[in-house]
Amino acid sequence: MGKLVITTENGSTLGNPASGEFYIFIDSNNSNKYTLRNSAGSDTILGGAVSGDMLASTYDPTGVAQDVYNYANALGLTQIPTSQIREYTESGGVSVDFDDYDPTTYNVHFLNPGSHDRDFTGIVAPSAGVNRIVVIINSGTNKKLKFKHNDSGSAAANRIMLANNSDFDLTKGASVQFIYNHTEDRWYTYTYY
Amino acid sequence: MARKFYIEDNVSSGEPSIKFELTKPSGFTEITDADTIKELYLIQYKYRIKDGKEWLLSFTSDRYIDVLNGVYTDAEVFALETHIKDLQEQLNNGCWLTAQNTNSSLGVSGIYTKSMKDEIQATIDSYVAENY
Repeated sequence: MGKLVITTENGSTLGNPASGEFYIFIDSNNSNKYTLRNSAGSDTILGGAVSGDMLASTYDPTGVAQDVYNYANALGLTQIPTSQIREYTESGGVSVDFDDYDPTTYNVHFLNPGSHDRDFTGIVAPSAGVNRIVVIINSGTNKKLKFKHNDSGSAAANRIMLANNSDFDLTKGASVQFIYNHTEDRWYTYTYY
Repeated sequence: MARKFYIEDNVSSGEPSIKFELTKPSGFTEITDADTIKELYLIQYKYRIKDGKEWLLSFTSDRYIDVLNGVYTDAEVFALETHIKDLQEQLNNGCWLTAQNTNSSLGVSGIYTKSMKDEIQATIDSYVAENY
């Protein structure tokens, strides 16, 4: 999407456009009014001074117009900053699980279980009053993240509650989101793909 | 091979955890309510069915690859499928304990050699030991 840029010009020195063309400009020689000039040099005032309601800071103080041209913003989608994405590969032995997994400040986690299937029993709970959704994606090759329902492998407040009280396996490329419930003091499945 | 369900004592908040173990874990108490036990076994059987289906898919895929690689012929694999039909059905239904007995008493035939039989038996024995 291109932009039409209207600049400030001095109408007394700007000159006239070629035959059949027009200039639109902010005339510094006429109180910064939006001006249309034809090839004969006749001016038509289009709007008030640039300090008036045509000023972007007045008609669009929060930059909404720019968002219209941003596909994600226009759809209300969240653009996730890189600072919120973590990639992690577990390289420990077969007995190493994801217990009390600490998401720190990251919200999206590409977790690679490495060379073993790994039990995943919990995520460190957010502080009281802090609502969090955490996304976990199995970015490994052929090993599973095996999510365990309400498992005592993690501290009580860090455990995850799964549908039908059933464990489930997150295979390569699959993802799951958890949302924390401060009433139950547990993570709950939000969506699962 | 007699796992029982145990419920966590004194959980600090929320629902207590439940474990399915051979011996009582520290800080847990055996569940004795019949309805709860039935409900928990239903969940266990869902796992067993899922695991049985996964094993069968893997086994079937391996045999198909064997045919593609010229290790076995189509006819040999078809004969194998017929020979182990009951075993396949039991694993597909999550009945690993039944399958353990079925495989154990099944005679060798065609490409279902002692080696293949022992390999299957080891897999089933291991699963039963870890999940029953």
